[in-house]
Amino acid sequence: MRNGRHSSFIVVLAAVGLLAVAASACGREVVKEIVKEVPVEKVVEKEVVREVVKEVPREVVKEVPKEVVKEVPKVVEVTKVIEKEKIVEKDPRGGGTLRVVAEASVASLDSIATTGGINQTVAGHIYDQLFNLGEGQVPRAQMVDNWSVSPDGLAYTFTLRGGLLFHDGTKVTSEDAVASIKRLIDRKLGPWAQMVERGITPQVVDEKTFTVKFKEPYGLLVETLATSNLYPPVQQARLASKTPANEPIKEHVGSGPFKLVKWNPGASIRMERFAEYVARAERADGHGGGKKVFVDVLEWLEVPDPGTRIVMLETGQVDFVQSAPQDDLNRLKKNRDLQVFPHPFGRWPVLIFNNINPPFDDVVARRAVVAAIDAEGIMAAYGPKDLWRTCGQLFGCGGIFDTEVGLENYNQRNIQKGKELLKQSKYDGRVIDVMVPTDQPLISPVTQIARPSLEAIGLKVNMVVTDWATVVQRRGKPDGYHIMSSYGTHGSPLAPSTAFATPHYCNCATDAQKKLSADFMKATNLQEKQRIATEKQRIYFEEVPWYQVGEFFSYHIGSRRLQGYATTAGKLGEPAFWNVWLEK
Amino acid sequence: MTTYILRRLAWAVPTALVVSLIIFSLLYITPGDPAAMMAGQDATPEEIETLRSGLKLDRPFHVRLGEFYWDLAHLDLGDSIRTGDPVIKLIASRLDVTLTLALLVEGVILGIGIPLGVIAAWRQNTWIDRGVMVVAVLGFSIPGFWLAFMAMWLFSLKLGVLPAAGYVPFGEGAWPFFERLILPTAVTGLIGMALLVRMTRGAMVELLREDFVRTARAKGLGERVVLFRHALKAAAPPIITVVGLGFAGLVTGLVITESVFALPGLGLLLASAIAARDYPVIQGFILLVSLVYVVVNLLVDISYAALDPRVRL
Repeated sequence: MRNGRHSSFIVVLAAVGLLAVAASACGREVVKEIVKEVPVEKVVEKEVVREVVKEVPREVVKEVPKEVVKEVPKVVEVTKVIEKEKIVEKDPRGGGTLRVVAEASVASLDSIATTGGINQTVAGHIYDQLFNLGEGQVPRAQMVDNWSVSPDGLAYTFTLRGGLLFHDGTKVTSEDAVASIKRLIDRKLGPWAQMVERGITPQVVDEKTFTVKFKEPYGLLVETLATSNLYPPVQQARLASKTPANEPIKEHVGSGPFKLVKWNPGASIRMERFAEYVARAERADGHGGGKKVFVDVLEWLEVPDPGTRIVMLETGQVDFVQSAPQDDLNRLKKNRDLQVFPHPFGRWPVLIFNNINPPFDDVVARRAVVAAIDAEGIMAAYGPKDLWRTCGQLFGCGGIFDTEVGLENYNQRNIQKGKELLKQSKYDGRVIDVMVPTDQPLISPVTQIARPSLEAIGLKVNMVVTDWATVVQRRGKPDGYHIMSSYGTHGSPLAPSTAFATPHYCNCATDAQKKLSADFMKATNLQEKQRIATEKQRIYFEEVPWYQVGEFFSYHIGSRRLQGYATTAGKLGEPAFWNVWLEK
Repeated sequence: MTTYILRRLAWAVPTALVVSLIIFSLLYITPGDPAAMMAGQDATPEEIETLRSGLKLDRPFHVRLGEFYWDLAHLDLGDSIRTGDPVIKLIASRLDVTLTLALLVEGVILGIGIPLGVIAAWRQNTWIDRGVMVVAVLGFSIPGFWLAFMAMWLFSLKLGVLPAAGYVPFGEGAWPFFERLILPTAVTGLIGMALLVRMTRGAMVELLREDFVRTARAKGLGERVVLFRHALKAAAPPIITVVGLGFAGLVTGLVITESVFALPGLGLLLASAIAARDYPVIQGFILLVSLVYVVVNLLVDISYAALDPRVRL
């Protein structure tokens, strides 16, 4: 009976449950949620930093030293040099061996006894000079401390710098300077011969002071002592006074920034820095100023073949080549490992007449040739256009003696005029000897390229193809040649001795020209010198004893490692290796 | 043999005297004025004359010749007009470069030229023979200076394995000294061996047909022995003549090689002396040349006797 009651209970519960669910389903409220966005403002503080620049004037007192410049008028005759490229100096770094190739073989290191530019260039590193040239070819004192000239121009007084020593440790004294000048006087090279005519007499005053006196005024002594063409060295008195001027000194003890270590003739010359050298205090200036040596060793190599020199430079065997081949310029400029150093001063190819050998003893015959010559055609033989220009001025184009007097006679290229003049002349149809030195590549083009012009006006030409030694011998004979060629330089613009010194072998020095030369040497101001130079050019174009064809420039080339050269010796052209260094 | 050698050496003296007389005379009449060259462009005729007198160049021919022979008798070749240095000293200073180069070049010529010539003869009319002859013809044809610059361009500029040129004294380093002789030796040797190749081939071709060569082969001797011990030995006399004269030429005439490679040897010394009309140097050099040829010819004759028992000196 119990199971019956449990079953009933369960049924009742289920029924109640069902009823509850039903009730809830029926009675529950259904809420439908609707979401509605109600904007509620919420304030959020955001910090914004705003920078306000406030200028606060503040007075800063800066003391600037004011240099009071006192102007003292001093006449300085300079040549304007136009820089074409910006040169950036780097910090000097010392040491190393600088190897350079000379342009020719060195015959002697005694540049008084032996002429030849290379001898003087190399010797100029071992032997110091009383003066040398700064930028613009302006003379600068080197071994001389101070100097003066008497009001009448007849007496110069020089005082040497202190501390100067020769490489053997002995002091440099005025006795050495006087002995060297006397040796130059005995040698009578170029302007020294003119000074002899003016009664030059050097004399020792004391250990550091000496005088040079003249009987007639000579205004170019300092310029001559500074001219790089001659590089008058100061040699030891014990050697200079005992060795004849035309015999080379064999023992080379100089007082220059380099000391000779070893000379293998025909092969190399080795020098090392002279530690006791006392450089001037001022900055480097061309070849002058303070001569500071940054390399340990300087070695000059003799390499006969120009092509080999360039290969040695390109392979790094050498660092500098003097006077590179003219035709190679454009190729070498493209090599980024190399730098070109153009010679700033040109050389002047000249056609020289033998003025005493008919028909060129007749000025009309000379004018006939001059009328016909194609100067531009000849100059084109000197390489790319960068390396030459036509310039007929006797004292150079753009210099302080530049003048246009007589220039209508330059580069006429007028064959017809030449023919007519030749007919008017005394030319009798003889064969004329024209010298062609084939071993001189800078001289032979002049006569070779002039040949068609000579023949076109009616001259019968015999081209004497030979070597330079034969030309030198024949030019010494009155009838040795009719026309030859050469080239020259004008030296310092203040002492254009070459333009005045007519070569003896042209047999063309007239009394009028000698007087002009003498007047130029005596002139003490620039205006007078310019007047004389103008007159000289006028007479030159009237008489045409020779014919200046144009101007060509050589160039040197060096490694990019070589620093300092462009701003020092590079301004003057002749190589000098103080104030240069090798970049490491 | 001793008497022969002494007699030949004795002949060297009059030979040298005659040669020096000829050279002295030729130089006397050759155009060129060393005094004017030395005096420079700006010198006056008076200065040149003073210098000429100082150099004793203004004396008559017979006086100058007599002084020259007098100095020669005292083994004095005079002083260089250009530098003032004794000629003997100048020549001696150049000997190490020239002799070393000559010996090295001769080594290349002999070491390559003779084997090539023998091989060409042995393989006559084959491609080997023709190939060797092409090399020989090229050696004759190619200009020495061109080959020198090509070698410089390749080995120095492009490959950077050898220095282009220059000279370092032996005392400053054996390897730098020899390193700079490699290119000039190779260039000069390759060109110089052309003649020796042809001479050797020509001499060997004839001999290889001889009975003694056939006999040697028949005896079973190896081909190398047949070629180099029998045939080459018989072909030696003309080859030695060429080698001897070639060596004398190397000692005295490497002007182009020395000029291109900047080697300060005797050839370059002679070239600069001629350009400057440095008579004492030229005369001294020619004397040296004549003595070298006398000695070389003597050695060649002695070698004939050593190689061929039939030759009696």
